Amino acid sequence: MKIISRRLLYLLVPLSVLIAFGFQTHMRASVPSRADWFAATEAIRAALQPEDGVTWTPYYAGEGRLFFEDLPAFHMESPEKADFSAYKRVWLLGAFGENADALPKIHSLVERKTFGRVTLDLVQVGGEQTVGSLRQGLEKTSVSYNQKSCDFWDGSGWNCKLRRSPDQVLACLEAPIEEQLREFERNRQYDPVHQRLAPLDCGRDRKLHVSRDTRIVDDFPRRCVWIAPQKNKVMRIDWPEAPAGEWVLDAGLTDAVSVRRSSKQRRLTEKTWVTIAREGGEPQKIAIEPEQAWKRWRGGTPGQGPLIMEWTTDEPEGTEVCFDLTVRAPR
Amino acid sequence: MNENPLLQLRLPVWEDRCLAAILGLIYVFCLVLHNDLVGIPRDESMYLSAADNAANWWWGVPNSKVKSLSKAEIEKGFKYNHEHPVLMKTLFGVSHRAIHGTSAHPGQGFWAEHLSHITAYRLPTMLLAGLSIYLTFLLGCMLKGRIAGLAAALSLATMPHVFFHSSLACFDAPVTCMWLLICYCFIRATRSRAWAVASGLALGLGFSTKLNIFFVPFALLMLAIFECWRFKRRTGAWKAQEGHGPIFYYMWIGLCMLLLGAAVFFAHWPWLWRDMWEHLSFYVRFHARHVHYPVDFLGKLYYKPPFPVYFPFVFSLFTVPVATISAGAVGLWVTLKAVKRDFCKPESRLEIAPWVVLLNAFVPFLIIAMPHTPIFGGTKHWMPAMPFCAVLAGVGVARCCEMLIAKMASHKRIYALLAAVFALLLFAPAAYETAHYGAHGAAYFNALAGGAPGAAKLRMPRNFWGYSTIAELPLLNRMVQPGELVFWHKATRGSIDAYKRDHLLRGDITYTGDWTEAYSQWAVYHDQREKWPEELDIWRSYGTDWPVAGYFLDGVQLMGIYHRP
Repeated sequence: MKIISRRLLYLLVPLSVLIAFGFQTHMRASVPSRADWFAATEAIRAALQPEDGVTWTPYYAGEGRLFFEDLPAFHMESPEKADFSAYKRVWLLGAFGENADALPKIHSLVERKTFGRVTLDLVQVGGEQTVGSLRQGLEKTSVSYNQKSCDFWDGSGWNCKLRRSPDQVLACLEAPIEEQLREFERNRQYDPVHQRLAPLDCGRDRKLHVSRDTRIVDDFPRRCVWIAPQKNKVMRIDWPEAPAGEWVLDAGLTDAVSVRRSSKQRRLTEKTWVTIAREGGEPQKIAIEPEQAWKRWRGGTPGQGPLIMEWTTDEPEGTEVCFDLTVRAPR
Repeated sequence: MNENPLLQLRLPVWEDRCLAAILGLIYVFCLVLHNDLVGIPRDESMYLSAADNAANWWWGVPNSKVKSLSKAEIEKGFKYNHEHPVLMKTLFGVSHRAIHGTSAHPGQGFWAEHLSHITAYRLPTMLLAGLSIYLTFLLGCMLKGRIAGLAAALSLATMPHVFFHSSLACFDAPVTCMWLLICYCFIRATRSRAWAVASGLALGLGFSTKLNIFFVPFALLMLAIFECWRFKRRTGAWKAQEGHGPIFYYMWIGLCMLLLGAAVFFAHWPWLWRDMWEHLSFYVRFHARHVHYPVDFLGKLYYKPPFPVYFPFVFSLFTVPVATISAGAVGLWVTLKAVKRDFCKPESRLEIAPWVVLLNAFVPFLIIAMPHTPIFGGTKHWMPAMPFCAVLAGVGVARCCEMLIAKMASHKRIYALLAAVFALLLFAPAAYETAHYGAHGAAYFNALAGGAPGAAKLRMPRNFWGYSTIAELPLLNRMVQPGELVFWHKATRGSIDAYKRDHLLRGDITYTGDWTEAYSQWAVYHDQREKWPEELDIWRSYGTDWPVAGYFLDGVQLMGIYHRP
């Protein structure tokens, strides 16, 4: 009896290999082909409406991104953390068994189709809606740094300090890329914060600007407005066309400054501050801790009138923040 | 007579050697056959330049005599990449030069026609990888017979990560072979003075291959002290009454390792022939204070020490095929039991082979497990443990055969045949995975990790220093217009030039340099978590987050290709 049971124990070796092989085969059978992704995105194109958004899950199954060029697609960290407030409906492409079922229950599934191994869920978005985004309307804001106007718009943001005339800066930005490459090679400057050669600034200050951007914050790319608050200085943003509703601020220090990548890198210890107020209203002061995090703050009550933000920091050498200020209202 | 069958050292006979050689040659053949599909990682591209310099120097010695020994000539040959010894770089360069000649005198004939430039550089690594298979087979044979040898060789040959690194003109597969060779010679040298000389030479070659070998003598010294102590306990004297005791052979081994090891190391590296102490201390300093590159491991990006102690163990659990893990567990159990029994019965002489296998299956892991050891290279840094793990798997398979097949087979030959079929079937899935991942072996994860998608979910790294570029070269050859600028991300200029030389990439496609995404029309992105900000730099420059093409393995991205709209 004992011998038989010991023999069975040794059977576990081939059995484990068999199970593992079965699992790998099953896993491979669930991998969507490129054609599956293409068919699913074509189906979206055929039924796309103006206020629709497109995203996918899980994030690592990103082959569908190859077909997103003309779609209103956005990045979603996970279904549990989904923020669909900017859309009326969202098309969710799913693979490896993930789909809209994991979304917060405020959203409702309208229809589900499958394209090979890709599931396509059309989701009716519930809950609040975004009625205004500072990021999207950044051109229509006014920015000042220490009470001096930052009035040079370079196509993605407001610049506070120029070393060249605006015409020269624009000419540099619009130069053919071959010329820019030559210029870049002539002026190679290492940027220790981002641990790379700094891109050509064309006479713009690398810190003193407020720009539309995408940055890694808390290990995920966030579409946001980039700003570099400085100690004892105030960077002010006026958003005159802010719609009525409750403001919502998502913000965090960029990972480039919050994650200490070597012992030589400065450790952030101080808070960064932002005050947000409707014009004439009570300002709300928010502290952003020196940590790797993407957090949300809300105004609490709906209001109206221009929104004003003022950014500063206690960090002696300044810091880098990525934020997204939106105004929300009931749907 | 030792009663424990595992501890009765079975010296390989000629049939074993033939079988081992056949398996080794098949492995080399497979490596050569698929080699043009394997991309060039950053470090390899640098070794190619260093290889040319070293080969040119050695080629010049017979002609220029004293002139080659001048400081200027030595610097020309060996200053570049002098943080690594030059045995392998010299072999890479000599192999390439022997097959393809120089630009002034291009090589001709069968080999030049049939082997690409990059394969010509990589040939010495592949041959040493074949030697690893050969030695693993013999070591398996010594421990538990031919079935163990066969299974051990199959286990090593079907590890996708090992197969990938065995395809590169780098040092990791060679140092794995050297580590194994030293241990094999050491085992034989415990009974033979001639093998002591061989072990000294092997250690010298190991020193000349890569720094990790410096740990081997210390590991073996522990075993030597242990056996001498055990001998003293058994006989009451350090020296044997008749013949030679262990202390005699270990003195020989020690002496040969010390003298020949140092001599070979010094002789092979002309860089040490001048300003020896300065150059030697730089070499040691460079590696003692090696920079830490980031590693994504189980959802956390590690930039600096302390690193998790379990890093190499978990990583191996997810990247070594399940057959090796399960058979290896049985082999480990059987071997541990055998050495324990041996330890408790001090009246017989210690058989060192199982101890050597056990110790060396763990030492490379332990070195990397130390919290301050750089871990950026992933599995390749503890690859020298893999042949010994494969031997344990071989012992495990042999044990399984004894328990599951022996009763079924009436005849010894039928048993051998059934056992061989069992071993082949056991490693067949791993062989399939090795073939499936082939040129992208560094991206392989086993079923315990959930395959490539499971590993992506666990956030384990799947790309490696820009090698995967090669997968999208045909697409770029088709799509890129003449004169358009291409940003190659982690791929170096050296690797791009090497692809062009082998006609894998069109000659008129440009290389813009590191961090030049803003000045390119096409951008390649190698998926590595710590490089994610660089993908965002592409998005910022191109005004789009969406690639136009990419290379995906089992549904997860290895590479993205962007085109400026």
